[in-house]
Amino acid sequence: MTRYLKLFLLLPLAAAALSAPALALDANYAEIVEGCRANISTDQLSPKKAEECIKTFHDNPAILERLKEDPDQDAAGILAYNSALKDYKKLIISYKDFDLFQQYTRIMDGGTCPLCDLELGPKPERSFDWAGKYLPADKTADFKFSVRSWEALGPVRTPALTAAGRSQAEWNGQEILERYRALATWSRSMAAQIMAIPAKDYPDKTALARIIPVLQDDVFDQTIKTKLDEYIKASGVKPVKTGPSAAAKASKEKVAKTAAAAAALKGMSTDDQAGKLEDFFNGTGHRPADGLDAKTGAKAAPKKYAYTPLSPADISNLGPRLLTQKADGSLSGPLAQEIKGTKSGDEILAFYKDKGFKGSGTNTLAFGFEPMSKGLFGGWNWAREDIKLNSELVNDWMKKNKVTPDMLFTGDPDKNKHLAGLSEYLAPTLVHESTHQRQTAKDKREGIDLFKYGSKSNSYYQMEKETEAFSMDASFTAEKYAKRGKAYAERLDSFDKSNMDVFLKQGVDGIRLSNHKAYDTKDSLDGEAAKQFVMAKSTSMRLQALQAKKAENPSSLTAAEKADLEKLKTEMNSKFKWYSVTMSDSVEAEKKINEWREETRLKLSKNRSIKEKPVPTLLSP
Amino acid sequence: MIKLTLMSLFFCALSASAAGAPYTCEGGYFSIAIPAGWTQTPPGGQPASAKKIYGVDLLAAAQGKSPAPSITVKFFAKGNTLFKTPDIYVQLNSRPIGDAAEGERYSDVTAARVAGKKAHSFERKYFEFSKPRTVPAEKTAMFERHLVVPAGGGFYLLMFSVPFNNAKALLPQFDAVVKSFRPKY
Repeated sequence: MTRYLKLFLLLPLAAAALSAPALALDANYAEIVEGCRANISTDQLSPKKAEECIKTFHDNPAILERLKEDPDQDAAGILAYNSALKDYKKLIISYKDFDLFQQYTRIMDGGTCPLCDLELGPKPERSFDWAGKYLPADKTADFKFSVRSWEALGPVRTPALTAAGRSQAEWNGQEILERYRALATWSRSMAAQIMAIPAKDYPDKTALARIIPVLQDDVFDQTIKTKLDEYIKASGVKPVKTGPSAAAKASKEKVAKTAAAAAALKGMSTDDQAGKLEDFFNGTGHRPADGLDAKTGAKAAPKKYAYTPLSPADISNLGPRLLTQKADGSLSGPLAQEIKGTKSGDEILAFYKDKGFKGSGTNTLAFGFEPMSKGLFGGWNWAREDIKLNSELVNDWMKKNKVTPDMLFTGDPDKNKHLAGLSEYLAPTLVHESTHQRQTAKDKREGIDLFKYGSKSNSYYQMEKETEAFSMDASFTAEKYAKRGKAYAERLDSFDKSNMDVFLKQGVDGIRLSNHKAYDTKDSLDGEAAKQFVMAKSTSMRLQALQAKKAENPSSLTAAEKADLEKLKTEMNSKFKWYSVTMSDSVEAEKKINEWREETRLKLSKNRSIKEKPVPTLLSP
Repeated sequence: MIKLTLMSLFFCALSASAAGAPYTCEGGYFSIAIPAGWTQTPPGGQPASAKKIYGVDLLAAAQGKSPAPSITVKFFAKGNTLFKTPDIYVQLNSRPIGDAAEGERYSDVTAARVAGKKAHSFERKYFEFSKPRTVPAEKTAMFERHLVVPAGGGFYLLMFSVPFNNAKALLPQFDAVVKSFRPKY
């Protein structure tokens, strides 16, 4: 049975679960939809109401299904804009300063901007009245300062910039990054002028106490920040905070993070982008040469290795020694052996053998290693259709376990104990990344691979995909732990062990929360839905117009209009199908994996009674 | 009767002074006041009624690469999909799975009172790892406090999780949530 069929079976069940008579449901439907529709008028836009609407659609698939078919309602718009409002409020409340600027740029840049349609962007000043109406006053003030709006610059910057010929209209007309840049330039120049005077001789100590913290907020060069610190200490005055926000703590690390995002977007190397941005803020134009320490400029000490790392040939050959796919699709090798016999591992093995996918080639295995930049992990790449891991992962494991490449390449792979050890270490990763490959394959089968990249496609990416993948690998390690005990947990990578802990202690909900705590750039299902349904809005309007024309006089449609009608109907159905299938998938995955967890927990549980002792907090003074 | 009246007055006084946005969970199992700066995580997966787990996860802003601080307030109704009893919750969460990692610490389980009800309290210091995953993995020391209140055939959970170096600063906000907590049972 396909998932879509399952969905249709689930929908009546979900509707029945509401246990409400049809009439009451009708009344509820009309009230709910009208309320959610009214909320996206530009005179309302309540984020609280938007949260209520999205929760209702999430918890009641029957309402969403009916809305989709309702010719009198703009389902795409209702879903898109309420999702966008909910997402926007979360973003402003959760971030500030440079972090908020980065997040703001993420949602306002690009061709699709639901919040711009609602007249809340792209210029941040367009949101200020809305923020003042719906958000706490301190968060609104932080927001205004984070986007460096003129009115929030405070009593030190504003007069200085005015004296330099800047005006509110001209200032706010700039992009946000330009504002940060202008303040960085100003603060660097101001700091140089101030520090040219011996600290003890500075004439106006009161002004100095107010200016220095502002300059430290604005300057991106850590050396200048430190010098300003030393200067104010030497002057004998205490710094006084004057701005509406405590501090803008943009660090070089965050700049580098922005550079990485920019590089991904513009196809430039991360290093080039990082260099450009660092220069941009520092204004030094200086980048240390390769092999030189960034701070001292001295030649870096050569790295000493207590082991032999994988050679380029080893890196190419290691994948097939660990895992191969036979002609019938089944997997073999030490890694396949390692995941076999567990709930999630067996699902993955079955996926690669599933004939239903074989025709499309979406369950073809391409597994191996590559040298990657420090920090990168690798994983399922849907555009390349392969699972490639950073070879440093293996180097680190070899170092820890005193294994050399020769040991890995000796004899029959299935009898090599070192390959078995490495397989045990890599197995949770295989389960995780294969789950992502399975997601891509299933989405293609369902026809919801609506994100196109050349000849490749995938469904829209959102947080629930990671919730499923992390839950699958954690369920795998938990099941193995129940069989192999403490020593197994010690042999795991700390990352995998920690993930298993979260899963056993808190279930799939714990994994989901952990992901929300960690990923600040990944869209939730709500955020992604907002973008997608805004993009579908013109399609929806055209479709409604054609349907209305057809209803009035079926023979009035031209051949071209008939063809257009069918095409648009397919497009809209695909969008709604993506949303419905994604929700339904996350429900099914959570139910199934939590049931697996309960089986594992029962094997581990010893039902000891709780002993309470009057022990003080770990946060001792 | 006098005790009840005094308690009601006490609660009324607290409600009047409690800051933050009011939140009542689905099913009316409890209400809290959400402090400024904390947002609800979006829903995902099974609906609350299917899991029989009702409530909310709140997040505050993350600092740098550290995980965001979180406050969880939930009611695990009888028959929920994760913990058959409050004891099982406490056993799983108040001790390490396997051997504790270096630097990981657990307090003992202590008796506490939450909203006038008997509760179990415990804390731990543990590590969360950066996502997306890196080579080598990067970790942050975290502080966690759990308050488990058996009630209504199930139990309430009030949990605070925060990077360890920020725990003391944010603890009053968790305390404020605990003070605002009004259980149905």
